[in-house]
Amino acid sequence: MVTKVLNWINYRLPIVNTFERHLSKHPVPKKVNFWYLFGALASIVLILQIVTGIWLMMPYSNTEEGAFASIEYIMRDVDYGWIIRYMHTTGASMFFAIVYLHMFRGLLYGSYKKPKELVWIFGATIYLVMMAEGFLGYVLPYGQMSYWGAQVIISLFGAIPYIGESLEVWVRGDYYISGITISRFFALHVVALPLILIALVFLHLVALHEVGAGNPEGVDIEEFVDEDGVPLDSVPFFPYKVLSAMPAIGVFGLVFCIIMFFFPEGGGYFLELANFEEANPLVTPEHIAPVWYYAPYYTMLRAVPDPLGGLIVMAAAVAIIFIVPWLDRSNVASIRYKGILSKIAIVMFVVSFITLGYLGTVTVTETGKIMSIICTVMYFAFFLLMPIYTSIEKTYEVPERL
Amino acid sequence: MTEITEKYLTLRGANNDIYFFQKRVSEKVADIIGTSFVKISLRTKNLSEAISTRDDLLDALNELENCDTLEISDNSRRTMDSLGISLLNENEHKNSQKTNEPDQGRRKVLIGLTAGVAAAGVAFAATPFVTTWNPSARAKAIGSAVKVDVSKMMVGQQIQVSWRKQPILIIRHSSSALSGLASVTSKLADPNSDSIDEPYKNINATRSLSTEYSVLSGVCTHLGCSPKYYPEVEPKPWDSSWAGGFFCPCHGSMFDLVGRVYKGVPAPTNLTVPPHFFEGSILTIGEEA
Repeated sequence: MVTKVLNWINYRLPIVNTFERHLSKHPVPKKVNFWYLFGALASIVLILQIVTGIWLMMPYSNTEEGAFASIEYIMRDVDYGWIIRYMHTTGASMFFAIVYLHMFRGLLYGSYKKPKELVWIFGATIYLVMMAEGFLGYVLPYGQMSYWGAQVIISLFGAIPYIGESLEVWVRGDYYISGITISRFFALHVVALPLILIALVFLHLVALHEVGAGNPEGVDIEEFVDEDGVPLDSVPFFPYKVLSAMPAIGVFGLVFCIIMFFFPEGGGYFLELANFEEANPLVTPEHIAPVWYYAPYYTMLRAVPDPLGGLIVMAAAVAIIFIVPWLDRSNVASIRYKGILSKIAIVMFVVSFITLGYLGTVTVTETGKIMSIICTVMYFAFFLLMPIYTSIEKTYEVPERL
Repeated sequence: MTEITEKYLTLRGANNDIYFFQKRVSEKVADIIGTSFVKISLRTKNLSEAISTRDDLLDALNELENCDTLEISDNSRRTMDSLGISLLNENEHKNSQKTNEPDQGRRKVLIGLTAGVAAAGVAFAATPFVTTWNPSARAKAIGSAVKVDVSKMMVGQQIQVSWRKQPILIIRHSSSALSGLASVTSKLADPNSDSIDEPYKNINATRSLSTEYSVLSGVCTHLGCSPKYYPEVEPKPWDSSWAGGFFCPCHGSMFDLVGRVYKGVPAPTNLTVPPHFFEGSILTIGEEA
């Protein structure tokens, strides 16, 4: 009976074929390491964010008077409201952590090399939309840090010559960040950007399945295929990859729960302490710091004294990620077979990115200022010098089989 | 069956003993030979024979990849012919000349005109979506001017009022503070406010329409934080020879007592002076007289 129904549907809409092609029988490289888990984890967190987000929308009030109070209401009066909210806030930080690791995997193993350029570009766009999504979400509680963080970010528009000031008013819909801004951001945060995000994730996956997943060796597994054109060094996604990912998902769930139950504020890095106070446009908090996941870019913004220059540097830092497929001229994909220059470069990159992140969360000092300039230069050097160091260095021979 | 590890070769046939060539090819080559996955029998059981045919075929495919269909060598042509790979494009080239080509120029004009009309339509349709983001009539009304009685302020005192939820700093200066302004001029980036649109330029040392009060927007010109008032003349962590003024806690910008920016700080310009006027001791902010 079930088979009959399934056949009836499949004849009209090929769900079984699609399921087999993209999930159960989808061939994936047989040997990959833990770095290849973060894509799956990211999709799990995305679903979690959507579900908890829908539930948070129900008690949340998107007005100037009501927003902050409704967050307190969720935390205190709504049954288990606190767990839904902490799931959402922890999820946001975890989403960024996972995506940063996922992107770093891409840099390590050349997940952007031909023909995977589009997969990379869709991924980079997802990251960009996530940053906007995270920012908009952070404004919604209308706490002090929501307000002043938004003030800093929106005034970036003001740095644009000529149209800047009117653009700021247009984005806010008011002369300060008011209820009008809140409800506008609410609509973007819960409807517009998630729709775009889901569409991009879909494109990211379709593009990936078209060209096939990579592996840490950078071997093209399509070169040795069996009679049906299935790569010899691949295994079907189900059960091999699904089951082997289970323990990792379990460990991730454990880490997630530990944070959610015991450190939901993440020491002020996940939820900043100033945000436990209602927004007050007349009082700036003593120390304005972004949430940790924006910190590296915030440091770059601060490193440049001129706001327009800072804006350009910050935008360029994100934009440069998009063109990585064309910056890497190496004839091998994986860092394992790249030369010493690439290895030094990637270490320098990691050091500069983490230092930038740290500097973004602390108060400005003289040394900090110099450090942030040095690290910004290092960050850009990693990308801009990539065409040079990847083409002059001697690479190692990649094995034929995985 | 022993596993073959030679690139692109696999054993097939009824007894699994005939060498087959299998390879995915690029889009360009696929267009020419009509398939993206080449799977053909090499009609041999001998491995070394299979390898040599494979190499010939790989050369031929490479040639297809790298040059025009009409220019490939006879050798490659023979290799592919013998294995039954035909070149589609060549025949198509010959056929296409006979068919009736549509008038492309005319088609382009029509497509262009349609796209133009559609773009105009999109612009009109987008107008309400863009303009609803402007401040509404209510937001504009709430953002109108505010009045303050400043006669009760003490000398040296700073008060804050809110105009458009923006902190407006009003400072009643002592005469000694005003005369001391000149001592910091050398440390200022723009003492005469030449680089901003100063509304009441060169009228008073206070930069306002009053000889005693300064009226400043309390929004740092760097990134919109609110600078704090530190009138004391004493060493501060951010400046060992502090002569009184404003310090921004966000990014460390410094301003003097009338909101003029110091050199070498993140803020690029002096604090702005909002439109205002005095009627006796009543100060109106947000409107010109």
